[in-house]
Amino acid sequence: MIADQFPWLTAIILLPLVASLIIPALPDKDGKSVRWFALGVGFADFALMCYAFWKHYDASSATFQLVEKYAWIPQLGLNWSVSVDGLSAPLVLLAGLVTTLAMFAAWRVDRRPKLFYALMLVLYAAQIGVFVAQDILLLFIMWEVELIPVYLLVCIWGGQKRRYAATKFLLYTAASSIFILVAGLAMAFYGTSSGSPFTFDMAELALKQFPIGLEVLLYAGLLIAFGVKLAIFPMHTWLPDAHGEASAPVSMILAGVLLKMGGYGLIRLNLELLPNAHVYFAPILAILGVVNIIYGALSSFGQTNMKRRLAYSSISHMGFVLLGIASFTDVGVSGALLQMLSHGLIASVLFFLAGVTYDRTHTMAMNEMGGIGQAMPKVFALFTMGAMASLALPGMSGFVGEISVFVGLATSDAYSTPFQVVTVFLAAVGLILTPIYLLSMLRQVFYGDSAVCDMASSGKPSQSDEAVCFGTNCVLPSEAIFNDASPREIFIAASFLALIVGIGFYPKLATQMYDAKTVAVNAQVRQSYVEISQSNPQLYAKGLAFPRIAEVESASLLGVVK
Amino acid sequence: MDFANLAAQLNAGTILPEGIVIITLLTVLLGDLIAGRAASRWTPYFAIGGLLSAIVALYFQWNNPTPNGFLGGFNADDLSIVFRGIVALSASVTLLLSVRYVEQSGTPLGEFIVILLTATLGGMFLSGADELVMVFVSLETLSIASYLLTGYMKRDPRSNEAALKYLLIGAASSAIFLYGVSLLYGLSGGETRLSQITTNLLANNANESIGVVIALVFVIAGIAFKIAAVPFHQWTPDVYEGSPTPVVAFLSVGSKAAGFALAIRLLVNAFPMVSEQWHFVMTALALLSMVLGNVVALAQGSMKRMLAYSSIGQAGFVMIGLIIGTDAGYASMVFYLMVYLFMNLGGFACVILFTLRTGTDEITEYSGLYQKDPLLTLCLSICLLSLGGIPPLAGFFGKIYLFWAGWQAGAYWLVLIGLLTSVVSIYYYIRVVKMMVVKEPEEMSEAVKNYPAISWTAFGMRPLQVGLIVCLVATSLAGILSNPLFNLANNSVTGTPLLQSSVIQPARPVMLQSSKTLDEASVLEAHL
Amino acid sequence: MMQLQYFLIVAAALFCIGIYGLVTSRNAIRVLMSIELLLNSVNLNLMAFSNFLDPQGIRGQVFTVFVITIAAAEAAVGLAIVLSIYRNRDTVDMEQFNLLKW
Repeated sequence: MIADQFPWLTAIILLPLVASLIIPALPDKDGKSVRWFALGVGFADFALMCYAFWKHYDASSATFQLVEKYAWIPQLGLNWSVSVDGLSAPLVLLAGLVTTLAMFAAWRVDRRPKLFYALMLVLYAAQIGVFVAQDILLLFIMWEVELIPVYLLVCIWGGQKRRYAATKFLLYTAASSIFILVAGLAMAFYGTSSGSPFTFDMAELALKQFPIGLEVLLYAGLLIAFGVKLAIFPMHTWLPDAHGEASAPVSMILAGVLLKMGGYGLIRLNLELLPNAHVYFAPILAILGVVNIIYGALSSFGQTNMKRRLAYSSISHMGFVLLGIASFTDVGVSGALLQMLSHGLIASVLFFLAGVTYDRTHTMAMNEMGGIGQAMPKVFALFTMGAMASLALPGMSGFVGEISVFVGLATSDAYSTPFQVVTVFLAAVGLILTPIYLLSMLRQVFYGDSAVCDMASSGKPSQSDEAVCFGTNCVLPSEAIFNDASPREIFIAASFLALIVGIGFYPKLATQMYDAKTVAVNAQVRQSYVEISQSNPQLYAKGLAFPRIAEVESASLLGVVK
Repeated sequence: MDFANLAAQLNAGTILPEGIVIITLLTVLLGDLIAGRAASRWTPYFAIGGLLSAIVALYFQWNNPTPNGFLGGFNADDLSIVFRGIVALSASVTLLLSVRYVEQSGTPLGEFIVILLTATLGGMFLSGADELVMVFVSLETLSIASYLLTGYMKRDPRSNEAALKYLLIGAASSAIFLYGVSLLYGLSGGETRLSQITTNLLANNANESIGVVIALVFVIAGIAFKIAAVPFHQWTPDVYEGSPTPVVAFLSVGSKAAGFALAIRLLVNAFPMVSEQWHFVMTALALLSMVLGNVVALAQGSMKRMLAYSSIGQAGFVMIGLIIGTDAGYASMVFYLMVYLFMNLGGFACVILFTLRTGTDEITEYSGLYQKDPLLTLCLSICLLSLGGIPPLAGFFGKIYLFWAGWQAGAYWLVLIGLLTSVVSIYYYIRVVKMMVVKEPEEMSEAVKNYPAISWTAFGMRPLQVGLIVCLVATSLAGILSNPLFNLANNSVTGTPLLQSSVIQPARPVMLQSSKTLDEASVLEAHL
Repeated sequence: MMQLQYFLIVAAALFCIGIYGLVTSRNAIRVLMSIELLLNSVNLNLMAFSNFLDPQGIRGQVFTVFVITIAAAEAAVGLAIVLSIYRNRDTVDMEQFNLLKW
């Protein structure tokens, strides 16, 4: 069976990487063939992963599949160890889809196209690398590899404050990623003397027992590392800048995929490797989640810039991921993952449409727009659908993700009733705020009086501050043509929306890929919870009302959504 | 006693590589003398050939069963071989970079090569020196040649000034070093061989004497000057800014590597009884170097000054390996120095090329270079990002190995500070990358606007191009395909008896102060 | 053994004078001379140790010869550099050498 031997995942990672190295050598003057090449590679890679998962991935199993493990630097214990399980597979597909479509969205970027597409392809490979790495050191490497392309992509193509935003992003992410390395080193070296073998392999590290003090420290460190990426409340300040200033295709990737790395890391490392500490941290996560939801929604409401409003709405939506992770229920954890996937699709389409709008209006300030719904009805329709998905209209994927989180949290037996009631209530308030700010955005942008015509004459900023290719193309404001969405744009948005509606009506489309895995993760976490609450019945007593000692009833928890 | 007999007795084969360098040096000198300026057509290539054949000779000395030569004066163990290789390699790459630079400055090339080879010779001898007189003589050979190189552009007042500052501070620090050495000689009762000093100190009951600590402090001052560790770094930025750039490249790699070899040999060999003290001092130096080097680099406007501070910071990282003193620690030092060679020389190659084409090295003058010279931009970006520790470049693996070894040995705070300061370093490295890549064509600097057409045909440009490409390729690939380098580094440590006997010590650094008799026996055993 | 200590004390005093000169001198030649003082204190040290502790091996005396030789080389290079800087700048005052940020 040659197909079983074939290193699918390595091929999936290396294809874009190698392709990006070829780009400088491509004979190309006007950027026309580079974009075909990059799109082809992106699509081929996406097709490759679809095929590999279709043929060789068994969704009913919670174990690692398509396992590849080669010693890379044995002296360091670093292995090229990649495999997928229920957590990785959907996110890999998401990364492939969003990046490919983002490259298609950037079809008309003609400013330094070679560099742009080369960086995109490197980013493509690094994202997939993060999701499939099973070795902490390899994860760290992939995490860092992704840094420079994103930095340059934001720095070169984007809005007026893009350089500031890019530097902020770089420093936040680089500084926080230290914790991944330190935690990895600490876990690998714990309990090994200098001569004995050690490993960075996550599956083997999960078998280690750490003292609870160390585990809490490790958990806190990783929470900072992933919290920055996921934009958890006090560590989110880079996100509105980076998402708001990046060009539309890059924003799609930032919001669609890079945010999910944080959530993925939390589940992969914090939950799977440090379940005991998770028991202690879960209430904090839940509180942070609620804060994220409310704070993100309220801040979003206060923004006058369309992309910043969308960026804050991302922060708000990531709160649900935290709530789901903290819920101790199968439905909740599954909902967290579904929320990540659905937000990946929804945020991508919204940022894309924001870019499309910008191409016409050349402004992001919502009070300068207005009435463009009449001029471009198709964009308006697509945007409305995206916004509806984002505000969790039933029948859209956002609804399924958020309702699962709510159900998970509400049915969780881990928390006291008052805590549950307050959390669910506050999260519901956040849910009500979402339509307010999204619909008000729609109203400002697409309804109202037409104020678009004098766009080109608005004051010229100085050259270095000028936005470069902020939307999906590089047309100068004075040359902007005010037409409706082109077939290419409709195709991109429709691909996302089709998936959003598909998952909304038939969630099993997504959940069947990972249900076995999330149940396994949750079972492990619950196991820790039971152990700790038995040895320490006063758990959660401090400040969180009274504990309800859990009875293990995992069987009954399966499948509310299914 | 005939010559062959004498040579056999002295085990003169151990310095065969140095012999090759000396012959090369003399040939270049004579050729230059006889043929005059016409000789500069072949002398650089001949010198590079000589250095490369010295490296080949080093390869054949690997795992030499009788490494001690010249009655214990020179030790050709595996560690010294690696360090001598690093020095020789850095000199040969420096030669590639310097041909065009020296030619364009209108100074004679032959003498430059001769002095550079002398410095290389000093560095190579220093890496293997096992005796105080030998240490001093080779140290001074390296230093005096470096002073001359620094002041080689003798019509340039900046070069003069850098040379004078370097000479005065260098001579003072080597005098201080020498004072410490003289105390060591006295305290050990008249012993100059490093491996015997500890034994004699114990025999003289001088192991707890304040004299040893004074000697240690003075010796560390001398070493810290050579590796440019804070607070003995003040000369670095000035000398780096004023001297000819190829010389800076050599000083920052070759001279520094020799300094580290000296540090390992002297501290581990001669000062095990004050191991706690020197670990403390070196930890302080490492912390200061990492913090100060990386933070001050943020504020620099000149590329060479920035690289000077960055090299101070890098020295701080390397010192982590020395401090933890495990097998992995030493191996990570060696590994880091090997990748540092390529990435730093690559960076300097780009600076040289840019200076040759535009005549400036201000960081702001680099803005918009991507549009005019993509190759230079790519190369400089790769080298700087590698210095900053961005995967999958070589520097990342070097750093990760250092931090890995540090964490393994329990030096948590050092590793944390190292990680934090390397994040700081990313900021100033990427500032340059941003200048080159991100700036729009409208924001191009004057120097870049007037950038000459790219041509590699002028005399000496080809070697520069070769050096650039070699460094670029090595920096990009040495990380991903780093297994051979890792093996080399590890074997050099495990194959060195000196380090093998000392590796156990950090576990109990205060070994000699409490139960003397028992530990004395083990130290004697280890050093005999 | 009292005598050895006298030698060492003289050497240490010489060393301190050298350091003092190094720190306070403004003239580059004086700085070079201070360095010579430092090296001579080392020589004194080495000779004393060699005489008292190592009369058979006399390694210290050999060392001294090397130190003197290298000190001469160093002084020669130093003076050459001072000369060339004097040609360019017409001064050997350390305070005037401020092209590079000190």
